[in-house]
Amino acid sequence: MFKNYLKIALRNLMRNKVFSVINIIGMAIGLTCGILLSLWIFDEIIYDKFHENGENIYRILENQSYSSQNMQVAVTPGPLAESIKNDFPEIVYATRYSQGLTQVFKVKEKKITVTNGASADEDFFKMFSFPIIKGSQTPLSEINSIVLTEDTATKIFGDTEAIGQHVSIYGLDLQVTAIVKNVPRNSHISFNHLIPFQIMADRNPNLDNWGSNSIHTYIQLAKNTSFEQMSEKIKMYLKEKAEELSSELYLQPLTDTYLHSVGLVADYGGMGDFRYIVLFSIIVLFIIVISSVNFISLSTARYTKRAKEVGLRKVVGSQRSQLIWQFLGESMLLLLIALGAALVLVELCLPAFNNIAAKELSLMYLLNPAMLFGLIVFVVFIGFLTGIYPAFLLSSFKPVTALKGSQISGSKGSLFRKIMVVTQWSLSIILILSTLMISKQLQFMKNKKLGFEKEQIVYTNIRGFNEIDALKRELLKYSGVESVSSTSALPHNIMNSTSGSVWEGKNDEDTFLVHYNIVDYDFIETFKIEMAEGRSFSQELSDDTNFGFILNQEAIKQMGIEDPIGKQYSIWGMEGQIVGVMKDFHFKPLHNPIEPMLFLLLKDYLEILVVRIDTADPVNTISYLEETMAKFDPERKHEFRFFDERYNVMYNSEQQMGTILRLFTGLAIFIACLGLFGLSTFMTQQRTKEIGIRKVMGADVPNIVVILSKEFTKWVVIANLIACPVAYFIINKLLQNFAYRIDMSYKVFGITVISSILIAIVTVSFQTIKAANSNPVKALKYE
Amino acid sequence: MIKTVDLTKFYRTDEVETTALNNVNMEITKGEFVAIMGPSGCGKSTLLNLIGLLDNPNKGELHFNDTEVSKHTERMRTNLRKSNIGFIFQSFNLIDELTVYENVELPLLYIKMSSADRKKRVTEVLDRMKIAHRAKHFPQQLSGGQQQRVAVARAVVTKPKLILADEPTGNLDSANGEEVMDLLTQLNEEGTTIVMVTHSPSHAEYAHRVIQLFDGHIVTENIKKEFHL
Repeated sequence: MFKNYLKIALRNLMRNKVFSVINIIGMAIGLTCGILLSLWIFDEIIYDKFHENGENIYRILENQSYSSQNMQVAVTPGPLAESIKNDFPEIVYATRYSQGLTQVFKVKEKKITVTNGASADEDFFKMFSFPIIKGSQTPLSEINSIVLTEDTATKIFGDTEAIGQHVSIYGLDLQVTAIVKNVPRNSHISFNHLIPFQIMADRNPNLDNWGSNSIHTYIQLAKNTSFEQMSEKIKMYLKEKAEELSSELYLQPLTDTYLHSVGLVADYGGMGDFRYIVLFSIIVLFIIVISSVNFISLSTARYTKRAKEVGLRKVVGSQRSQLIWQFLGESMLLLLIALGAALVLVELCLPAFNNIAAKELSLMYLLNPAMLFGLIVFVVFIGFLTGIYPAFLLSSFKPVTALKGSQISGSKGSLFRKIMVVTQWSLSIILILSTLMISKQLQFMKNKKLGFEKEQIVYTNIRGFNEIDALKRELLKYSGVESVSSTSALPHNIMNSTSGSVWEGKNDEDTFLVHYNIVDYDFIETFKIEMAEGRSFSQELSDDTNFGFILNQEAIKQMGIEDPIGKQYSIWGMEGQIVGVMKDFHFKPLHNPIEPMLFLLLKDYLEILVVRIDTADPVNTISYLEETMAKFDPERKHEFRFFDERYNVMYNSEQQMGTILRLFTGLAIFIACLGLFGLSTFMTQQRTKEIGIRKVMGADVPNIVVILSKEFTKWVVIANLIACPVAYFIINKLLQNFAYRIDMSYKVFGITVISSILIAIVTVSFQTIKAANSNPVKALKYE
Repeated sequence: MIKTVDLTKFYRTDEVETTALNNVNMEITKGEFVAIMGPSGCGKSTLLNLIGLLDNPNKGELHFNDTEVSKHTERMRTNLRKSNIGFIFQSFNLIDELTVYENVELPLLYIKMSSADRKKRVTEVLDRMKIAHRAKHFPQQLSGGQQQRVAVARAVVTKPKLILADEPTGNLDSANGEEVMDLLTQLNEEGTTIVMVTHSPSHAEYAHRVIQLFDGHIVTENIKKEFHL
């Protein structure tokens, strides 16, 4: 019997090529989108899951309360790790950690700049699963040790054995004690080399200060330790260490770190966002529903073609249940063919998709037991869902009526089909509107005035370089150089902050967090930051090094200072006056409101050289800059990069999301159009006799096209009426994530409504015009 | 074999009720060949469908092999039908996606016959209907006469006790029509009961008895040939 069902299923597919192709393509595209997005989601959710002890590892975070706000902060004081491990027996390991360091290695006589360095304590390798390929199993136990990843070892030492080799950093002689496997991509902890944290602590006294939050702290709890109890125990730990510290500590599971750290202050860059998982899951659902609706609509629409067969099978002895299984089986077969096509499409599309999403996804993920199981369950579920209604409908025919063939009107199931098509188009329109508004928001963010000029700026790292003033004088000699400055951080994502401000008129209970940046005299002019009051830093005025402070308007507002110029201000024991107030500018991504900002003039910590260049001849200007740098610092290679390119990287994930959203919305519309095309083909066939009669009675082609198109247009109009309010609600929710956002544009809604109706009309017109032009004699012979 | 008592069937829509059969009483003996005639809309096909357990009457009784079946569920009717009744239709009703062999084999799949037995039975029947040389063809590749022979083959492949033929020669030319009638006669002579709806008086002559229907009633019954059990 199974062979009989299979034969007839395959032969039906071949006989009705147009419908089969539409069905398979629609489903294949839907499955392709679903698989691609599922691979993306899977790649995100497996971050940090490879650590053996992962379920017992936590990151310690802080909850900080200020007069005007509460903040969750990712960094903690340097002394916390050792102290908390000593005080709580449940904590078996603890480590300080920081990453993203750019360091200058001296190897023999050569200087090499190595990025993505990290520092950690000895417990690091006991906690985290970064396999040691060669060398010591406790590689950070000695202060003068360094651990390299295999790629970094090859980069520095080539084929020479790296273990035992010497490297100089910060004037210290370090020995390579271990080589580890390259850090996997799906790890929020990422490094090319690792040095003992004590080296950083020895260089920076602040790292021994309970009042300075600047590093990450990870702990591993003993098995079966209660997370809730431990959280309660450590909550007020900082206050126990120092009365003036009021922040509360709390624990973040390691496996939550990558996806659930949105909004944390001073966190790593490049972290994920659980909301995108939710968003993409919804998009997957929408697309699968749209494809499935296609499938069900087309299958049920063509039921009259199978009526005779159903009737005959019942006559010769088939029970209804047998027919249901037969048609369910046909749905599964079609779905499996579509799945095969989808897997091929996924493989073909993966390189381009990986490029857009900046990932390295692979179909091999499907071999993961959870993914494989999920895929099988999904296919069976969709096969059942899409097949059950047509199976029940087709098997319901009475043999007597079914065998009358042409007397079946084709109206059975028509209400269900209308509901399916309206559902499909509603989802598509919601997707279109959401995509358009998010694209507008991204465009808005790209073009919004930041309060400083990011164009025409190039920069290079000068950490450890001491002759900045002489370098600046030399660079300014070139006509293409407009101004030169140096700073500790570029002004697009300043994360350093402090609560140690004291100002004239401050009350004891006032608490105030201000971001800060260390700059030189020319920084404000180089970035063309506007002053609201007072002046910029000036070399002629000695006040500024004794100390002159410049704050932004938001800082002055939160401090509640009136007439700030000349008012006393101090921070970290440095006392001085406020000499200027900057107009507020965006020093963080536009998801965040503008916060208080302080500029400090200090000679130390100036690690980035910034140059504003003329646009007339940027290539030669940059060549001049690099040649000059080479003269001043011959042992290191300096490359100048454009600041606006680095700025745009901040919105990379939004750009990626926007591109992916546009792509999948386009595909959803295409699938919906396929469905409409198929249905219009079927329904014009059904109305062949009616068309013939109308033409004989005198109807012309436009008249017939309008009659045939009217019904489809009605469905799409209804879909718009449903979709628009839902889309409005969803878009509002999405835009709430942005501190600076566009207004809801009714023009976009209007254009979408009209476009969707036009697309639908054009889609069905292929068949309606063909039908309207057909010979009425042939139509009337049809009966 | 078949007995109807006050058999009634009507069709109801929102506004109209149409009585197709009205208190029909008749008996058909095992081995008989009965023709049912009457003008269009008199209820001939309805009567055939009820006898063939394709539908339930609204009132009255239908006895099949001494079992009252008028209240049978669809499942029960299907089970009874598949082993006992074969159907031949005016428009052949072959499945276009199946070959001649597969069409004839179809009823055997539903009585769960083994593959070897099915092959043997189908081959026998195709040979008998002289259509074996077309076993691998599809219905649309056959002439009308050939298609009806395939339909007859399908109807007899389960060796049913009863064959119901609804205007089996309606779509055939006279030569092919005669051929089909000869086949039916042969089957009847071998003991199969045949009930045939026809418009053709000449074809009705093949039957033992002709029942005339009009407006859902039996108006006359004529004996054409003697019938002996």
